[in-house]
Amino acid sequence: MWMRDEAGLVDKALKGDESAFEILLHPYRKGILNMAYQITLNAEDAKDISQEAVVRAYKYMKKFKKTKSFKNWIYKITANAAYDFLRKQRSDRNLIAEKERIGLESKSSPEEFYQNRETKEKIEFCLRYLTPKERAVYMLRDVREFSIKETSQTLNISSQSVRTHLSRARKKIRSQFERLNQKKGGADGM
Amino acid sequence: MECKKTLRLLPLLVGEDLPEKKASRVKSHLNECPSCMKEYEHYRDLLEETKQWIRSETTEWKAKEWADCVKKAVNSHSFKNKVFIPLSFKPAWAASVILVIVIALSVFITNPSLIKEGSQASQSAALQGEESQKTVELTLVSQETGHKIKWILNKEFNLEEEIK
Repeated sequence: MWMRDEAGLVDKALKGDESAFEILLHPYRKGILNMAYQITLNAEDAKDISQEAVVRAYKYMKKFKKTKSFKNWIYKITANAAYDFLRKQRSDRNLIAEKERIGLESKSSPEEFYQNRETKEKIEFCLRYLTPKERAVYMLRDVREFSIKETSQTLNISSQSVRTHLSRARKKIRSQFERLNQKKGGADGM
Repeated sequence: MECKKTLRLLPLLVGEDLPEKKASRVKSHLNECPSCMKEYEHYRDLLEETKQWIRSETTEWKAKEWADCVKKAVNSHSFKNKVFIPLSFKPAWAASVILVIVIALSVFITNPSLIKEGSQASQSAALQGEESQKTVELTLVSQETGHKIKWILNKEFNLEEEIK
């Protein structure tokens, strides 16, 4: 029933019906934004990515197969838009991350670092050294719980490549997480 | 399986991402090796905690932002423009037209007799037009006396009228 409704909304949206398009996307608007936000950890970037995802969804609506899940389709588009964004921003991000790292490590004591950081910053610390592909693979597989196959299809890479990047990402996260714990341990010991 | 190999495969095992056969071999090693098992549990908990941090990070649309987002998407693309000639086919259309023109020009350049044949054809058409007339006038003039006789003949060249 729900699938048929979505198919009808897709047909109306294809005829240029703006309200049908809005109704179609409405249940997923938070999911789209939060997926982009969890990948970038920046609200403004997340909104830009979501905008791009919505534009792509409208543009490529004709390619959507009505027998498939619209939810999966729109999330794949969002993941792809986020991945493209990460690749574009890679050099800038590395530069900013390096500046932050220097700033954090030189200006803050371990105690200050751990106590003052928000969860967001702890995540950023753990994900700092992930490449865009590793980050995208990790976010899709671990955070959004895509299967290996869905992740490979979304990012247009092989399943083996997904496993390789996933393994590297988890190793890097673990290493950073332990650095964070060392800082906490250092702070607690003071 | 050795501890070294097991530890190398742990990042994939913690997410159940190893192929079944390999996973069962690693798991059987874990059951026999307390230090690898401890490492596995630590890895799994640590990644779970990171995932929970990330999942706890959420943000919200403002109503107007979402409405603008949808509006912008709809305005950025029109399906109606693509009914007759989709954008992706426009270069193909242009290429086809250019190809036809080039072929036509090359035919006339390499074989100009076609142009002459064309003009002859138009002349013969004119003659045919004349023949299709109902009557033919024939005027005979004597060079010695200057006397004129005008015959009007029908389609079968039978004399219809004679004017002296």
